[in-house]
Amino acid sequence: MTITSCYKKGVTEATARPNLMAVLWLFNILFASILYVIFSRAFNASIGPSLVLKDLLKTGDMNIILEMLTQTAGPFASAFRAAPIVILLYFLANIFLQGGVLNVLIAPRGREKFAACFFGGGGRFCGRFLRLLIYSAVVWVPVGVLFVAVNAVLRVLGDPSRERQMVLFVIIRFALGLFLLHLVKMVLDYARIMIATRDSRTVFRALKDAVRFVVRRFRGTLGLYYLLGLTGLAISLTYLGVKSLIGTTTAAGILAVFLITQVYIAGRGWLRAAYQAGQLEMLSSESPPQETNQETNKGEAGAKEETAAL
Amino acid sequence: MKKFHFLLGVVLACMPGITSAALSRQVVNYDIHVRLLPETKTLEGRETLVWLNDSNTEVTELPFHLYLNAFKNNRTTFMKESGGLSRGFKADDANWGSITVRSIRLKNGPDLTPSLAYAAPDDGNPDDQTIMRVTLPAPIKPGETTALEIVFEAKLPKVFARSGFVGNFFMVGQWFPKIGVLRDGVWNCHQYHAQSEFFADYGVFTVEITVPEAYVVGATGRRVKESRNSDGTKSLVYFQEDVHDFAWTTCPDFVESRERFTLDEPKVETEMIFLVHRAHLGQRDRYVLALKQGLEFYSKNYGAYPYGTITLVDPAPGGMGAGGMEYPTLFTAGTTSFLPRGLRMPEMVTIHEFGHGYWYGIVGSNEFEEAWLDEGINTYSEIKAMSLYYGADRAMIDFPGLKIGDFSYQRLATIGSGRFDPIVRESWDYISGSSYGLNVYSKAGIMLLTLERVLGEDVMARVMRTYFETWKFRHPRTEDFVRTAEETSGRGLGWFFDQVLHSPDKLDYAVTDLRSEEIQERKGIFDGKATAAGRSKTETAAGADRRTARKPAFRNTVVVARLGEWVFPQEIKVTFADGKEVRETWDGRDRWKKFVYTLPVKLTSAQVDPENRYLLDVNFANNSRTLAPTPWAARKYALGFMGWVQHLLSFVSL
Repeated sequence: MTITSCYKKGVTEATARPNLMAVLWLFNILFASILYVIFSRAFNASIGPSLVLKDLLKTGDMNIILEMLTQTAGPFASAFRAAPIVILLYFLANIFLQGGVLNVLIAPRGREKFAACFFGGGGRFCGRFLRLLIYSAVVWVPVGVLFVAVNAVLRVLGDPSRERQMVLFVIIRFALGLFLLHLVKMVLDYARIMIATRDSRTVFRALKDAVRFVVRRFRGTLGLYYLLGLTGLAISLTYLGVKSLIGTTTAAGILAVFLITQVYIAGRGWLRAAYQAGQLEMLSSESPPQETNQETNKGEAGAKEETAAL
Repeated sequence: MKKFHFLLGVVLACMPGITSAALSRQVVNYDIHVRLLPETKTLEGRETLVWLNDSNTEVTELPFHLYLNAFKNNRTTFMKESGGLSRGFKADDANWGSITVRSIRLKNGPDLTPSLAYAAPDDGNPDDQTIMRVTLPAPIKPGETTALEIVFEAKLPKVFARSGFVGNFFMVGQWFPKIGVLRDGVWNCHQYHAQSEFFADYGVFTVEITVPEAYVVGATGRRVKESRNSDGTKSLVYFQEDVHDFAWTTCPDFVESRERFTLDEPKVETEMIFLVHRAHLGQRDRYVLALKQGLEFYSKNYGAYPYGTITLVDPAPGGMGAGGMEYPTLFTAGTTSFLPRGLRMPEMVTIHEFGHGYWYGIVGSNEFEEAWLDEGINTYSEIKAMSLYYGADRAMIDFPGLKIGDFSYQRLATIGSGRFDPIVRESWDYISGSSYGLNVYSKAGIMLLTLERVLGEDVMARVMRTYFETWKFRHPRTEDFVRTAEETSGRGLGWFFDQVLHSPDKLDYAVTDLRSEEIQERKGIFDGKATAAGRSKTETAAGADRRTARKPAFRNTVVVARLGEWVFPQEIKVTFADGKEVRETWDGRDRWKKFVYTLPVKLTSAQVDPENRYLLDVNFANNSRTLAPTPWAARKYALGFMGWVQHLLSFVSL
């Protein structure tokens, strides 16, 4: 199975399931709305009745914006304080969503009602994915150590009086950090897919298998990941381009930007589904199909036996 | 030595633009020979100082600044006050700095070295050796001059606060024994503090600098002689009159370039010398443009740049501790290799540090005691120059979607300047370094912009030009600036300056209440008359009919309040639904004032200081209030914020 065929499959599967995109967008906006309400109230409380609002609508006067952030930090602080809590809650909810997405993707299309399939999958895999998150420390720790070690070496080699070298080192640090972050993220994607397709409770084993799979198919998995990443970049650039064409000095403009942002966020949901579908395809091209079926009915004990046999 | 002086005199006399009638009262005449030993980061110096007693008092002792001793150990006043940190740069425990006077004697006279003693007049710190005093065998009478010969050695620290070295880059500032200022018969000679800069008398400097041949040198004044020595070094002689300090720099990685700058009105002719580190050559054009803008702006607005040279020094990578510092006819800027053009720090620093050449260099402000006369006036000038050349709303940061002007940046600092310190205070007496910076730079700069709006731009321009012309090559005090402003504008400005210069408070006026209520039909019991409540239904209905028929009346109320301590006279603009405007005045003294209008129309908005004259007001948003707010502005920002949150959530869910 080539990277491009997995890519095509991922895109096709994601496109064929608009409900998936919609539900991901809905969750996103629901959580974000909490902060909208808090921010909106804080904003109105601080300068709601002021005439400067007219200028803010037209020009985005930095004097007022900076003044708001310093003078009236109190009301705004509530929005900024609430943000990490909302993000954390969303992160936890996301574990549920991951199960829903995968369950929809592995279920034969049209056989089960979408809602039952999505929420059923979310509930079924939620605990396992949570455990996977905890077990993922065994991947994060060595990767973190590697990152710290490279940083230490660069710090020793770095000469502050050679500015270009220092800038290059910053770029290397940043690129390496991003690469490792996404590498671990990709491993976890495959681990989740293995758990879902096998309906396995042996989470740690799935993680090990995912690491092995990524190492064995390094070029393919990475190629697919970054091809989809480029698709995401294209979506983001298109969004930024369109957004920059619209002025936000009128109600219509503000609404238009809001709607475009929502389309973009939905697009991110679509991309997420495409990732999982493409990776599912990549994995299924290697996994013997009977393994999945056998393990489905065995549960934990069966999986242990299988591990021993292997 | 005499032969050299004779030859130098002949050379200078032949070079137009170098010698002219003295512009300043030349109290000091320094002739210094200094050799840099790059391996040990040390200087060996010989100094001849001719000093004029320009006072009416006999002088029996002479105090000298030994600024480099601020970096001698961790117990000096500078190090204790700064904690070894300056503008984010840290002192290096392995590279202390110091200066030692080996001998000091009267020329052709007795050795004064045995009388040498250190003094700490500001804080009595026994570990601080930034001031030395020597006792004279006989008093120097008013109008007399005396010549001293001083031999000294200095060790440069690793640079973190203006002077020092990093790698092969050397910024040599405040490096030689420098005599204090005899002012009103009293020596003005303060220790080196973390939060203060400098003060010295005008005079003539002739300095011979010896460095290894490969090193490129820049210094105060004009290079008048250069010779190669047999030991692989070279000696360069620099000369400058009418300055009160001398600084120099050297680095083999400097790329030197020169460009003439001329201006017809006022007449300016000077040579711009750029010493840009090899690593930053890609940024050179930014320096060149900004320096031209600085020369043009300051010359046109305050007075012609009077010197034959101006040298811009770009500190080496890792040497930014030396950056952003002014010396006469030389200043250090600062940049990094890949600094985006939208971040205008190099431009701002260039214009700002060049500007110090006017308010610290040409107008000899005492930065120890009244730093605002330099920093504040210069911040005001910088904001105006940056706004003119780069745009008021984008002078500091200019990226698509994010633009910040210099005024906004300085105003933000003013808002955050606390209520602890006034603008005028001895520099080391501020509660903290940040309080010093925010008050002396930003608040003072915004204060002058406010004054400009109070007086009008033309009048303020006259004030500034008059102040510069009156006090160039002299040492003004705060009251001299105030007097110049009052005399030039013809207005009493005590109400303004007394508050803004000497009180740590804030200016904040606000519209705190705005309402428009329909006046009700009379109800209840009124003496001798029936009331609506006692009437029959028919009567009430008839009354209702009458109410419908007549025009409603509204009781419109505006309350303005003084939330800060400073009292400024205010104008209030009140706008009604029919488009009519009413302008009210208020002396601003009471804590609040209420304006009531009974009219057939509703009030729509009220605004205190509608022309935004008082830029010192720390809260523009509360200056106005409307009964018909614009809901879409709040939605715009709230939806924008939500959009960012949505992006973040998308990232989290990756």
